[in-house]
Amino acid sequence: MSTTLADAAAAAPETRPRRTAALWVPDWPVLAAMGAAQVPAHLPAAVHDGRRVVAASAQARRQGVRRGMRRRAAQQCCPELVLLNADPGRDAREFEPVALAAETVVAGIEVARPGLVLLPAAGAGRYHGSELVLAERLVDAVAEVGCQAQVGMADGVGAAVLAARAHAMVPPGETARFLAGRSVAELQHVTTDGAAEVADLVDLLVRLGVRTLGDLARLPRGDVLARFGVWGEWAHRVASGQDDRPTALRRPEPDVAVATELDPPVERLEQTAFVARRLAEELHATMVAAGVGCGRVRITAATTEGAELVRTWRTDTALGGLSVARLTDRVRWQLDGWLTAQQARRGGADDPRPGPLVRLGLLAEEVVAVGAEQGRLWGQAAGADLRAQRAVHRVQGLLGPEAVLAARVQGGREVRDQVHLVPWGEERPPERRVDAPWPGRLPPPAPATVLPAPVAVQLCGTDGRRVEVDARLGMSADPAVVWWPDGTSQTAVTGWAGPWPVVQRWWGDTPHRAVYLQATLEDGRAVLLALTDGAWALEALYD
Amino acid sequence: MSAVAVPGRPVALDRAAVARAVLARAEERTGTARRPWGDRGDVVRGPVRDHGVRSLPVDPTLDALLPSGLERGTTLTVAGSTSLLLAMLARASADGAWVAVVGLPAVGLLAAHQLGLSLERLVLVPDAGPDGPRVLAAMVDGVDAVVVGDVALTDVDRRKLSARARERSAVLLSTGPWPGASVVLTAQGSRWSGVGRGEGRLRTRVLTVAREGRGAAGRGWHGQVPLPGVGAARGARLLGLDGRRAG
Repeated sequence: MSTTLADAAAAAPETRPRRTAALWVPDWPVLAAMGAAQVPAHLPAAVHDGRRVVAASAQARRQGVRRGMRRRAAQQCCPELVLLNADPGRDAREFEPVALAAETVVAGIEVARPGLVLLPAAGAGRYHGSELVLAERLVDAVAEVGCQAQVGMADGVGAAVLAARAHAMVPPGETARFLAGRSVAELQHVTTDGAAEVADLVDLLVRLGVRTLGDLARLPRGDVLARFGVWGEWAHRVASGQDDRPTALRRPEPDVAVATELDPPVERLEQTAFVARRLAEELHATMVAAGVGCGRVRITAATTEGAELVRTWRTDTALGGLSVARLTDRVRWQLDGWLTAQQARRGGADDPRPGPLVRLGLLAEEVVAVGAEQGRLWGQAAGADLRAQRAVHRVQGLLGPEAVLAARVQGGREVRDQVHLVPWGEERPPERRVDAPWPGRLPPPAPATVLPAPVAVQLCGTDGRRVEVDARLGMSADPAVVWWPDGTSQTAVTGWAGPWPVVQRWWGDTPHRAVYLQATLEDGRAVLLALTDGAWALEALYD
Repeated sequence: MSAVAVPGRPVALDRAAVARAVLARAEERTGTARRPWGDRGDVVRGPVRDHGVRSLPVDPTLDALLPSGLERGTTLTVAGSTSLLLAMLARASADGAWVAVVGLPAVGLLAAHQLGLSLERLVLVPDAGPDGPRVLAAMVDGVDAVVVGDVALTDVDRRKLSARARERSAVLLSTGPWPGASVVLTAQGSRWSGVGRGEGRLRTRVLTVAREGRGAAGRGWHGQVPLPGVGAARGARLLGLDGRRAG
């Protein structure tokens, strides 16, 4: 068996995983919680998820508090224990300064989980002189933000994590030996996303007599995979020092943002034009300097009343690519819309009532390096598309952005509900899902003319009275004739389908109940009629 | 350039041709020029059924009505049926053409979708206001087919727009009268099927259309067109509405 290991080590130079450094801050959840709750460092503390202790500080551990203890047991060991609630969001938030400190030493890092940072060590080690110097600098940098960290280096991610816990620098090629004597239980410290599965696996391995990682590594990998599944295979790779996962480096590619305070507050559109131009130029210059492009631009403004106005535009459809002139127009139109009460009303009910603006900001989102933009399935926008976008842009310049609309199909039952209209280029998600079943929606074909507002008509039955529909959808008489709104002309009904009831949103603020009837008329036309609150109306024409 | 040299031909001529082709492709891609129609050496001036560069394709069910498709640069009038108008544009829109609808606030967009139009390339200007002529001119410059609804235009504006459409190889479709339209389609009545006296639903219909106008495309014709056509069936299938009322 030892020959096998030696053979593996001999073969390693070609297949050895890359050198990885791990920076581990012990007991991070407790440290983060203590920092957030401002618990003095000398008090024993533990983080509790409502059922069990998930992490304990060194002070608490010294007094016997362990992971997995119940609250009562922990307090029994250590009566002065400060119990803090678990909060993964807080852990991640508080860890950001530590990650940033590590980033001052090495440019690309991966935050495996709050408290654990992985980074490729080979290049960084060469840059800083040696791996030892790199480790020192990392520890120093993190110490400056007030955390004690341990750094470990080894071949492969899993071994590096275990080396960090042991505060060890494993020389290249020694990883298998370093791992061989360690308990399989340490696998639990390596995993970032499978705690429960790994705990079960470790339990099973120990019961089967596989107690050290060396034992596990000596088993043939195929058999391990067959017996223990993918997690077993993963554990085997870690145990044999072959855990060659490239670190998923996080590139510091922040959203590009520019903002300006408006003092005195801006009330008139003319005043905003210059601000818009300046901001657009600034954003453009920043992005050009950084060599990035963006998929969306978010325009934010704050009013004197403290309301925040936000609108997002796609740069590919609305701006046709980013240029200062287009961006300026877009910002100006948006401010125009916000400052002009009438346009704000047309823009949508979600817009708060505008007031004088005190702050204006532009934020480029979906920032990518230039040249890395995601093309369409069939390639980039073609000439015809660009030409059309330019035409649309020109018309929006003539009429205002709200006058040119783009339509999307959305879910809904009524004809008008099923179309989602937004100003061209604006990013606004549909209100209703289209893939929901929507029982009771009107059958296709849809009417080709949908009146902007229903027109009151009169539908008279064979008895000469208005057709009534009762609660059981029985009609008082067969429809015979439609009287048009002028009150003098009429057309005979030759056939009809329905009535179909649609009762919607009766639980909300905008209840709607109507009964729909398709009717063919003597002159060959077909119409969609609706009975709402006892009155017939012409909704649409199948013309 | 030896790769393009053809034996028996002077190399210089080929290089010039290649250069011209590259320039044309670049112009087409960047959108600075639209592909001129009709005058290209590589386009065979074939029979009128050539739906290539010179015209936008239409659904096969409309072949009798528009034997040469929607010819680029022409102006058509479609009166009396919005469905017919949308059905005429469905195939071209699905094939990548851009469509603008100006001054038709009542157009049924769900119907357009079900007929097969691509809403991604459909630009709506419900109310062009007093700037109608300028809006239409901008649209004609950039969009393949422009539908003109209720827009305040004088006859001079209309003639100018027709000339502009001819120059820019766009198709103008008007729902109202238009002097000088090459094709005038008038829906004269329809017969619906599928609906009874209190049962069924509107399913299909046959639309009686009269065609007149100028030239070969506008030769007098009177006939019946089935609507909704193939495109609608496709749209309905995509929506999962295979003829049943949902629910």
